Amino acid sequence: MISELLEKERDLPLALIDGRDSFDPGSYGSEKCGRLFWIRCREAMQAIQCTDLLLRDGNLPLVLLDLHLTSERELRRIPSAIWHRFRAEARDSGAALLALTPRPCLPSPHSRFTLSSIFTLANIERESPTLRTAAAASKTVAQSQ
Amino acid sequence: MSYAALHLPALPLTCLLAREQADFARPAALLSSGKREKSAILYLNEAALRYDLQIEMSTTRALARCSDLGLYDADEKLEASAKIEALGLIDSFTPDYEVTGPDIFLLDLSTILFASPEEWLHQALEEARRLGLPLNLALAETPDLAHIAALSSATASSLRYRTKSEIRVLNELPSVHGLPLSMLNRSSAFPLPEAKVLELWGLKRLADLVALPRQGLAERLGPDLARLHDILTGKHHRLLQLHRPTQNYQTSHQFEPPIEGVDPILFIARRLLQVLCQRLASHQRAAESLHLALSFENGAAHSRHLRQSEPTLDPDILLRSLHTHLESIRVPAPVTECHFRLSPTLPRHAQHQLFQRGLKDPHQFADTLKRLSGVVGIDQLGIPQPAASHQPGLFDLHPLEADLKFTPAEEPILPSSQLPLKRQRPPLAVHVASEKRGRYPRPLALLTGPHQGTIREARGPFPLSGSWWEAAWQQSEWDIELPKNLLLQLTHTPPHDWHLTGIYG
Repeated sequence: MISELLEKERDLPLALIDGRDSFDPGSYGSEKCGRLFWIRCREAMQAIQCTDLLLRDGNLPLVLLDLHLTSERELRRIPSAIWHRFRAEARDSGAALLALTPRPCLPSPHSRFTLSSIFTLANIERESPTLRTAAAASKTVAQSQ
Repeated sequence: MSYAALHLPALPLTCLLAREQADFARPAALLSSGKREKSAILYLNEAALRYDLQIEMSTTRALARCSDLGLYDADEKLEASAKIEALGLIDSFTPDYEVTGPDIFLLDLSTILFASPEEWLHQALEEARRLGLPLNLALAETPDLAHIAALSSATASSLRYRTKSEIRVLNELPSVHGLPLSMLNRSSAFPLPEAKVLELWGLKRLADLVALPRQGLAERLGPDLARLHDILTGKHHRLLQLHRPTQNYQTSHQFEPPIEGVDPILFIARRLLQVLCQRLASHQRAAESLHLALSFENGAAHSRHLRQSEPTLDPDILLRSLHTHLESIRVPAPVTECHFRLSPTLPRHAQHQLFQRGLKDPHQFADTLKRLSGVVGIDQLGIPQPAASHQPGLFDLHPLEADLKFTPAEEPILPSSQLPLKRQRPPLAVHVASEKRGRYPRPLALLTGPHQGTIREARGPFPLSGSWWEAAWQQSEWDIELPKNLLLQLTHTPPHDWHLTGIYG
């Protein structure tokens, strides 16, 4: 997902709020990383605070909150009112929030997608175009709810 | 007469003579720094000029011509304070003046009312007594004519010190045309590189130069001579580069009694910053940074330089960065005094690109960056760049500036794999069932950790090592596939340590 977003050339960097400090710059290369503003968080509440600040700021048009590896216990501790507030802040500031979570936990998103990967070891070494096809294939199983 | 020129002949020297109450009628010279034998003459007073001494002449040679010559070393502080006093005097005559050279000042008198030129000259010279320095004051129709007239006491009214101060006001303003050509050498504003040619032609006075046809002068000796011809005939009338003294954009407030908390400081700061911003605006300047200094009741102090993302004149923006900073500090005692200073710079005028989007509010973004640094730490956010190293997981984090300027490395670093890795930081130690095949053990199953199970397929080993010259490291990587298409990266560090370093996908 991050790779797909970084593929596109844009004027302003993509803000990645990394809930588990798991982003690996080496996997993306220097060119794509140059279009990324990475915020390394150690816990979910830090990530929530940073998201709040960036959405209120509204200078960066796309904010990606990655809670994909966050534990279920930590996710449950995030009050659902937070997501409503984020939605209002994003609407006021004109920014867009894309939240990656291991399960559907945002109560009222504008759109929700379920992504499932079907990668095998062979994909690690495949050429980029083949991988894009594989990534597209994974999107075909994505469902809009 | 619209312009006046005030000439303080050899100011760096005369201020020394005045301090030491030396006789101005005695020949004196100011020397360059260094050993006296190798030094040269920088300034000469009028008495010394009568001995045919010249600027840049060696001291030894000058003493050979005038054994009575008084020698002085420069005192920069005294010179600076004398110049400040002179500027104060000129400012009392008119606010519109130009600092043309280190010892000459041109005054615009077009906005000053006076009964007659003689009366104004007399009054000005009377006021100039407080400087205690000899000076020439000349009036003319153009700035450059006034400048030339002030170079010589023959064409300028003057204040001189012999046994006591003497004021001499010229009743009729003589023409500068009677001055010798060499008089122009006293000022760098009228360079005359063709002086020798003119001398060969038999020209001695400025009037001789004026008598020559301008066109012929320009053709033979270039446009500079033509310009000088225009100046002497009063045809050249330039605008003065008006001197504006440097303003201090600072203010302070004492709290009586001392206060605690941020709100009272912000309340006072709003008022003070508003005044400072208005002062900046009146001088067509904007604030580049805000310097804050706080004094506490226990004698401690705190100061911080709050740099703005771009020059601003909005007190609210300055107040916002101040608020963010004050919230982040702990005060050791009640605050007794606050001091604010704005660094002035030219306001930014930038046109946004038609097809490129910039930040909506750079000030707001700079403030947000500071707040984000407060949440995660200043070294935990920025633009990542993979490090040029074979050691996995290394990267550089470049700080993101509010203007979003970032120049990536010239040689791009390609992605390490086609599938991105979600890295486990720090690597998670796991128990792995393995079998020894050749030099490297092959993983068979993950026994502990969040993803346990039999390994369906494994790729590897990929042995890596480096930094053998300092902190040597060695490991072998394995890409493994668990049931449900879970792709992991394992690292084996000899002899028996296994770590889960990341998840692919």
